[in-house]
Formats: sequence, C-alpha cells, structure tokens
Amino acid sequence: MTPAVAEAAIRDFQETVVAVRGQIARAVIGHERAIDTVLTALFAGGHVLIEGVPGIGKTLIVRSLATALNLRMSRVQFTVDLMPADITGTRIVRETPDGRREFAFVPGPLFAHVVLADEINRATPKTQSALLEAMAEQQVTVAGTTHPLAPPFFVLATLNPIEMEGTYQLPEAQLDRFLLQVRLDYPSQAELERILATTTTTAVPAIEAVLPADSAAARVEELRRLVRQVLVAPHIERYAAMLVRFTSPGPGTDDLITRYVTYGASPRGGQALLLGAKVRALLDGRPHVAPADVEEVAHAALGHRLVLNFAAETEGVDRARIIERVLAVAERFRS
Amino acid sequence: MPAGAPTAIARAVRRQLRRLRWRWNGREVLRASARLALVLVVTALGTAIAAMTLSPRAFAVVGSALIAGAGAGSVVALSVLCRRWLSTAGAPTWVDGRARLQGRVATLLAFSRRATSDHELLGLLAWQNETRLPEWAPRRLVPHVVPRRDVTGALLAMLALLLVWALAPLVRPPLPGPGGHGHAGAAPDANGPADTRASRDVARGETLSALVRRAATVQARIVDELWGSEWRRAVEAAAPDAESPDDKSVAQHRQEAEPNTTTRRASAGGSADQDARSMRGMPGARAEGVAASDAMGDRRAPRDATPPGPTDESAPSGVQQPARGAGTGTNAQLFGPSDDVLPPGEDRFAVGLAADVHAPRAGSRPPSGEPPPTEEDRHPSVAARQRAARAVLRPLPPAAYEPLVRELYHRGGAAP
Repeated sequence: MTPAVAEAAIRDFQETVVAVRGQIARAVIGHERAIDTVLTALFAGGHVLIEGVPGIGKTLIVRSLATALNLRMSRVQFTVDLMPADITGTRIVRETPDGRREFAFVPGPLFAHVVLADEINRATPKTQSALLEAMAEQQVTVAGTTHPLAPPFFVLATLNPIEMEGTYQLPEAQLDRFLLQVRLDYPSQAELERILATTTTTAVPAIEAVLPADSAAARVEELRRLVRQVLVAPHIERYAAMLVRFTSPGPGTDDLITRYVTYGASPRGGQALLLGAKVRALLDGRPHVAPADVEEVAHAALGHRLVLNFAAETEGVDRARIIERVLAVAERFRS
Repeated sequence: MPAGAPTAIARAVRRQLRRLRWRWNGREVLRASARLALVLVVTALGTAIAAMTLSPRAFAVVGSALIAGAGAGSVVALSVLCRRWLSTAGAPTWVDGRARLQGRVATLLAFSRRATSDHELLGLLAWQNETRLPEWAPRRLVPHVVPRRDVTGALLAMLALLLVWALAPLVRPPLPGPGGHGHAGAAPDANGPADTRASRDVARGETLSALVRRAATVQARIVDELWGSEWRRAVEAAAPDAESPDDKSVAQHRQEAEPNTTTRRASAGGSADQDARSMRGMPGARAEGVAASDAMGDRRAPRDATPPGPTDESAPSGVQQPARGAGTGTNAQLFGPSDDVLPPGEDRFAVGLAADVHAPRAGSRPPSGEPPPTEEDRHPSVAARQRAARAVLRPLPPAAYEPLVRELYHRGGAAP
C-alpha cells in the first residue's frame, strides 16, 4: 500500500465514522462519548456492554447506529423465559413441494449484523451463554449443525443497574467477552431540554444511511481490516501490558489495587486496549498508536474486567478510580 | 506524495537523531561543567573570604559547610546530567514528546528493522516522518548549544573570585606596632563567649582539635596566598613573641582541652598551626628543630638536623627563628615547644608525642638542599665579649695546699 493509498484509506475511515456519528447525533442527544466508544468497539471487531438506567437512550443509540450503517439489525428483549433457541434459531419440520417432510433451520435474531440484547441480565444463564458463545465464535450450532454468522456481527447488550430482583448477573468470565463497556449517564439540563423538545412533536428525526445497503457489510469489514493494520510499536505494547498487569493485585502493585481489587483484567483486556487504541489512532489520522490512544480507551476496556472486593463496595471505591490509579502508576512506563 | 522507502527514511531519521543527540548531550555536558565550575568557584570564594575574616574555629565550621555544599552541588549537577542525558534508546520517544510527533519517530524506528508485508501502513508512517523531519531539526529543538545562563553564572563567579584575589591586599590589616600584640584586624576573634565555647570544645575533644588544627593550616596558606607570605613574615618579625588570633584561638582551644600541658606551649608561641606549618617545611620552621629538641630536655640535636656550626654562636637562636644548618626536614617543635620560657625552677616539660609527622615513610625527612648561607654578624661587639669570656674548666688548688692534702690522705706506707 503506497502512502497515498494508505492516507486515502485513513481519510475514508475518518469520514465514514464522522458521518455515522453525525447521523446518530440527529436522533440521540448527548452521549457523544458513549457513541464514540460504541463506534470504536464496532470497528475494532468487538462487542459492547451498555449500562444505564431505563429510558436513557440505549436502544435508540443502537437503532440509530444500525440505520446509519445500513446494516441488518435485530433486537432481543431478554426475559426469564427466553430460551437459547429463541435467539439462535431452531429446526422446524417443513413439507417440501414434492410432499416430503424435512427439518429446516430457521435462523434466530442472532443472524443479523447488529444485535441489540436488551437487558441481558434478565435471561437465564443458559440463554446468556448461548449469546456469549455466538459472540465469541461468530457462529451458532443447532442440532449438530454449525451456522456461521455473517460478518460484521456486532452485539450491543444493555444492562439495567436497578431492579435487580429476578435478574441473573453476568459472571465475570462472560463480562470479559465484551470488548468495551459503556456507561450512560443522565443527560445534562440542556440536553434534557433538547430531548424534550425534539421527541414530543410530530417531527421524527430522520437518519440517513451512510453506507450503501448492498456493500455496507463489506465496507465495515474493510474498515475493520484497516484497523488491524495500524502499527503498534513495542513500547506501546509494553505500556498496554503494564496497564493490564497493574490491575491485578500482587507483589509490587499499588496499595489501592491490593486493597480493593480481587481480580484484575485478563489478557483480553490488553487486546481490547490495543484494538480500541488502533481505532482512536485512525480517527486521529495516524497509522500508528500513541500512548494517549491507549489511555483514552483504558476505562472502557478495563473497567468491567475488574472484580472489586467488599471493602471497595463499602468504601465507595469504584472502577473508574482504580483505573485512574493504574494509569497514574504506569505513567513512568509511558514512553 | 513522494514514496521513499521506509528503510531509507528511517536511516535519515536515525542520522538526524544522532545529530540531535550530539547537540543536546553536548549542551548538557557544558551545562553540567558550568554548574560544577560555579559550585567550585563559589566554594573557593567563600573559603577565601572566610579565611580572611574568621577565626580558625569558625573557619573550620564554615569551611566544612562549604566543602559539604560543594560536594552536594557537584552531586546534584552530575545527577541532573545523568537524568537529562539522551541515550540512543530513549532518543526517539524523547523527540516524539518534544516535537509532538505522537510517537511517529519511535514507531518508525521500531518497525523499520522488521518491516514485513503486513505492515501496509508503514510507508505512510515513513512518509509522515520524512515530511516532519524539519519539525525536529537539531537547531530547532536545541537552538543554543551553550547554556548561556549557566555559563554566565560560572563566569561571574570566577570574576568575583578574581576580584577578591586582586582586592585582598587592599583589605590587608596593618602591621602591628612595636610591642604590639598580634595583627590587629587581621582576623577578628570569633571565639565569642569563651566559657561556653570552651566547654563545648572540651566536650568535643580531640576530633575538633584536629579539625581546627587542619583548618588553621589551610587558612594560613590561603592568607599567605592572598596577603603574601612577606606580610606574615613581617608580622612575625615585628612581633616575634606575639600570637596571631589564629594561634591564640587554637592555643586557647588546646589550653581548654589540656589545661595541664598547654599553658606553656601557648605562652611560648608554639601554636598548633605552626606545628603543622613547620611540618610542611613552611618558612619559619627550620630554626625550631634545635630549640624544640632543647625544649624537651634532650640535648641531642634532631636526628636529621645538621649539627650547629661555628657560626651558630653568633646566629639568632630564639624561638621561631631559623637556626643555621637545621635543614629543611625536621619539625622544629617535634617534641614540644622550647623551654627557654619555662618558669625558673620548673623541671618538667611536655613531650609532644601527638605531633603530626607528614612524611612518605615513618620518621622525619632527611635534610635537603644546601645549608643556609652564613649571615653577617650584626652584633660583633657582643660576639667579641662572648669570645673573651673563658670558661672555667678545672679549678687548680694553690701550691701551698699540697702538703696538707697529702698528709690528710696518707694511709700508711710511702707517700705518693
């Protein structure tokens, strides 16, 4: 790839992301950072866990994203009685034109490019596992037959932090499957006023597709490949590994981590750091990752991978504070 | 858009990096040198001023503080140099940070050696580096090779030192008048409240004594350099029995520490710094070899001293006066001060066993050089009287007493 071609590809990436972001912003007011994180996870090839109280715009973000990218989208409202076959698909008996009966596979809602798993913690662990397996393998197996999921396969699962009764919290091992986590905060006063003004009239914000329908999936895959080509120097890899290692309590770790963290981030956390950093580098027009890119995604990539102990809960130490400390401790290894 | 090979661009980047490192490190070395020079010159300046104005004890304290400060300052300057030294490995990231290149240089250099086909963006990175080479040109990142502030500071300090050196004779205290005691104003006696200082010094013991003694030696040398050794000789010649304030303070210290033994030394003018000075062959030390050996009651001449010749009879042989033929390698007061000032009837003397002997090997140094030339007899009349005086070697009894003595001591037999 010549420098001119590479530069054009990076510019195309930037323009696509900016356009998608702009289209989403027509429907979603505020949450710019959350939208950036969602887009980062999409182009990094991972999945996103969105945490937020009801009515804050989680579903709207996902819908708007799918519309802007012109990708096929499905939504699954997770409930206690949801079965794995309800999301993966099932085999039914079908009569052929010649009168014979045979089993045919009916794909479930997972067979889409963008899947919104709403309130994932309300489904049973069995159904959660079916989803998470599809997320990891990019395929589902029904009745001994494996069905690959068409790329790009992007899952956005939402978590409702309140109304915890009757829910099944995702185990840490399954949380680890999500590349990034997004926490949606309450909108500000100005944003809330704008939300009220735009959503209570007859006018419905129209989101236009940025990518053509027939090549949208291919274009997203192309952009994902470009992300993988971003250069990461050894000292950046060292820095990312250092960040991951510093989240685990052990000898030589910071006191705050030793006191409040039971388990630190896994190597998947390091992968998430670098993949997210690569997207940030491309968005900045660079073919290589800088330490600032890694730091920018550190909260989203590492936060949900930390298992805090009871002391942290009682003393009000949250994951953001732990990550901040880790970044501060690793400052000297930055370059 | 030019599409230079990444390896070629990486080579150019390395070359520029090397030039930048030379420039930066050269400046840092200059800065460290200037700071070291500043520290040393300021220390020398402070020492010179302290030597001219303070008593030996105060000079010892101030000098120690100055030396400690100089050591600390040197360590700081060197540690700053080490910290700011631009190594080969750290230079790329340093340039990235300094020129806000966001890791471009470090990444290019890291990948240029292991470029493979899957690094398709390397060409773009190399091109970006090529276009940004002027942004971190050595002259741009390090505009001045000479750290002006540090060098100016060092030069000013040197100037101040030279100024003090040049002006020191102007502030030289006047010579004492006939019968005067010490050189007035030469060194203000900083002993302060003598009682408290004495008690403190006694509590400190011999360590402080040695420190003060050494400091006094250094101070005497500095004063010699600044005010000239002729001035000191003139002071000594004008008031040979007078003590300098330095001597007084050291002697006082000794007196406080060893009241039984040092009274005589202090009164005899045999101060500790003179001991040390004489050990180093300083002027005024040669004549005291014989006197010192006399002082301890041992009438032997110092081992290496030349025996006094005939001219010694007319030479001045007082305390602090050079003796003829004494040589240069003998401590005049090796065994303590002269006893020619002991109170009459006093038959005890102090043996200076702790006297410093500075020689390559144990023992005193052999005499070196030619013996001093014979001086003209300045008091021939006195010498004539001394020659005229005859010593009574053996009294002869009158001849009339002989028969009487023979008779008294006769024990029978024939008389002798």
